[in-house]
Amino acid sequence: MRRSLSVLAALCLFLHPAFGDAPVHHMLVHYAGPQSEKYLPSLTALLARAPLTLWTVASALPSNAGPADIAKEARRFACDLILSVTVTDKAGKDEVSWALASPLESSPRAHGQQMKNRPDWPAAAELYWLFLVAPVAKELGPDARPWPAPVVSERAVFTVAARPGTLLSGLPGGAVTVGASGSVSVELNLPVSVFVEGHLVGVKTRAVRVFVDHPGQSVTLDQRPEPEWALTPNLDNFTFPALGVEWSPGAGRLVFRGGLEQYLGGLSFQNRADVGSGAWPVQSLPLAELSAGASWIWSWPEDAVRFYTGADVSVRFMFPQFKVFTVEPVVPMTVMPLVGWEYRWADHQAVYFELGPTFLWIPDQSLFLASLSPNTQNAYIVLPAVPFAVSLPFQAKAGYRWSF
Amino acid sequence: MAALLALGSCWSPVFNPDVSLAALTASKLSLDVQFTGLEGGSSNTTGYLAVPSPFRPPTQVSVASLSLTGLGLTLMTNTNGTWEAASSNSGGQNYDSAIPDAQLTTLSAGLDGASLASFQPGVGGGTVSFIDAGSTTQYSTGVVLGASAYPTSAAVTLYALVVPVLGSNTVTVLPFGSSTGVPFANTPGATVGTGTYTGSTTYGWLAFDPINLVAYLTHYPKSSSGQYTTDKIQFTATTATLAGSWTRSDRVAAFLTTGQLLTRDGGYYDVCNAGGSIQSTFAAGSLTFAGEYYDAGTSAYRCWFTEVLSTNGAQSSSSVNVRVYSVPTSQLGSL
Repeated sequence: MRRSLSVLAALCLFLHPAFGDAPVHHMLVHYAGPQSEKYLPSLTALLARAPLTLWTVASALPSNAGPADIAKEARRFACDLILSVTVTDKAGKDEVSWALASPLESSPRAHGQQMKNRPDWPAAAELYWLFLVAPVAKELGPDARPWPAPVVSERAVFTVAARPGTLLSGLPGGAVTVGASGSVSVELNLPVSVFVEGHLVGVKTRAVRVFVDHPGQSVTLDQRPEPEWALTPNLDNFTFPALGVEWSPGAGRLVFRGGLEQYLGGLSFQNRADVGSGAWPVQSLPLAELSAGASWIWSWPEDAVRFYTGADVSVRFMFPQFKVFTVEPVVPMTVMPLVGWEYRWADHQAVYFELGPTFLWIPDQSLFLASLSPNTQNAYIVLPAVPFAVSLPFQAKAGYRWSF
Repeated sequence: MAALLALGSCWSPVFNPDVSLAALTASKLSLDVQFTGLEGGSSNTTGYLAVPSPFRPPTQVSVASLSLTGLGLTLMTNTNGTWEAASSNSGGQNYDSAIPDAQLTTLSAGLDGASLASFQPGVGGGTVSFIDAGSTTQYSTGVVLGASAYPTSAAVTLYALVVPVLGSNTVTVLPFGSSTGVPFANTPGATVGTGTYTGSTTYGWLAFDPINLVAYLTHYPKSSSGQYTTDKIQFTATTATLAGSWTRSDRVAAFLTTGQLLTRDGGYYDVCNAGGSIQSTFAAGSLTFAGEYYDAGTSAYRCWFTEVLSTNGAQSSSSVNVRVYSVPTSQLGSL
């Protein structure tokens, strides 16, 4: 022990002047052997101490990684030194093989092999590695051949391939649109992790995270065309079941929509539980609406919650006692501007909610007022100067959108 | 979400089938006069019936209203666009007597305004009561089955069928008035006919053909399938015999000068031949057949239809608009 401490003190004196303004070395420690959770921390702890005072990082590579992989790992962490240590069992003792190398050189500058008694954990574990201090310090000393500077960064071209028109974000320089060539190339400092998002109307583009660590690397975004058609069963004002169909040419932002709202069967609950307690909670009117409209989707296909605005024009049909089927004359037509939100929890499947005021065309105001039900909770405001009334509260639709 | 569901489940679109059906047909009729701004009257008013008088200008209409306090009859006059109710101080035209718990079934034009028949449900059938236009007295000499008006050129006679004792099978047809100035109802005219008929349940609606002395009577109770049975009874001066019967979803409304029978089927009127076969159908809804009159200007008979519109869905605080339409009787089949 005394001898070891003497050597350590001598090394300190020997190395100290040379380390004054010397560049800090970064060392990748690649350990292969048993009980890495004990051997490796004790080794890196020793390397971090004076006189070596090295900044170390432990390799995450498997123990059988080859020199090329280890060198690549060293470049990734901007290390200029690689210390590879292998511990094997030899008749109850440790045979320790080591090598000190540069990731930019093909052969190690120093290496050695030594038989060691296994340490008594945790006592004096760092001293187990003490034999490495001298040879390593020698290679780092002022008389040693200079080590190549670590490759901190490397400029390289990274290419993202996607459909023309795709708006890419996440790359240096801000958002960029893919041109007719179908790809965008940017220069990056390697290594780097890039999260690439793409947006293109009509297709669903999956975001991807790429670790770029070598020149010429590329990635092709996964883009799948969106369906153009959708069926939208819904509940009109949470009361009457209805069915709609939507068509979006090219799966674009513009959506043409039509629907059939029927009032033959709907929910109806009494305001008081003691009124009509024996009746089914349903209501029925000989009335239906055929609607047509359009909407504009403001969100991207990839967004889980999509926002849209639109308007529907509906023609009302009545068929009392099924003896006539004709346009309902009191309120022949309605117009409903709307805002909508849809939440897609899976491909082609979403729930949506729409809300908007309903403008009712009322050619004869007296007939309209006489048609109001005294039992309804709805209120209507007859607009001045124009033959329209507006419903309050706003009309709402909640439904399921199945795209195909 | 629960609150939204609760709000929504009380929602229904603006739609009154009666008003909408009436609008379909009203566009094909002549709007003779329209009264606006009539106050709804007593609170909880639930129904209205209006009828013009063939002997008064079309700007005068009798309006019956049904409320919790009973059934009332008012002669309304429109002067220079202003709707006014003739009060009891100005000619005794305000009939505010009431029949408690009545159902409004018939309002027929008479000589001096209008007469009113109502059906009052009761155990074993019910009682039809009669309010005439010349008296506020409510009386029922026997059970009045209903009133039927029939114009003959400038004259109109109002007929009532009376069963002396409820449950009796003897019926009498009484002319209640004419344009010749016979005091209305106070002195019933000569009996047109009386006799035995086969009806065993209460009748609720009446149409009378005074030319051929045929009464069309619809039983008030519906069958188990929801249909009415109408009896066609042929009268002589001393006999009444069942000449036919049919069971359908319509009930009689009037016998027309064209020799056709007008029946009501829910929201529709049917035009039938004298045998009861349906010839055509037109939408009626809140339109009510109010009588037939002779239009001297065109030398043709016309039918009156009235419509009473609440200005706020029959809410108690609403006011009322009354519209009086007419159409040549000969055109009823093409509506």
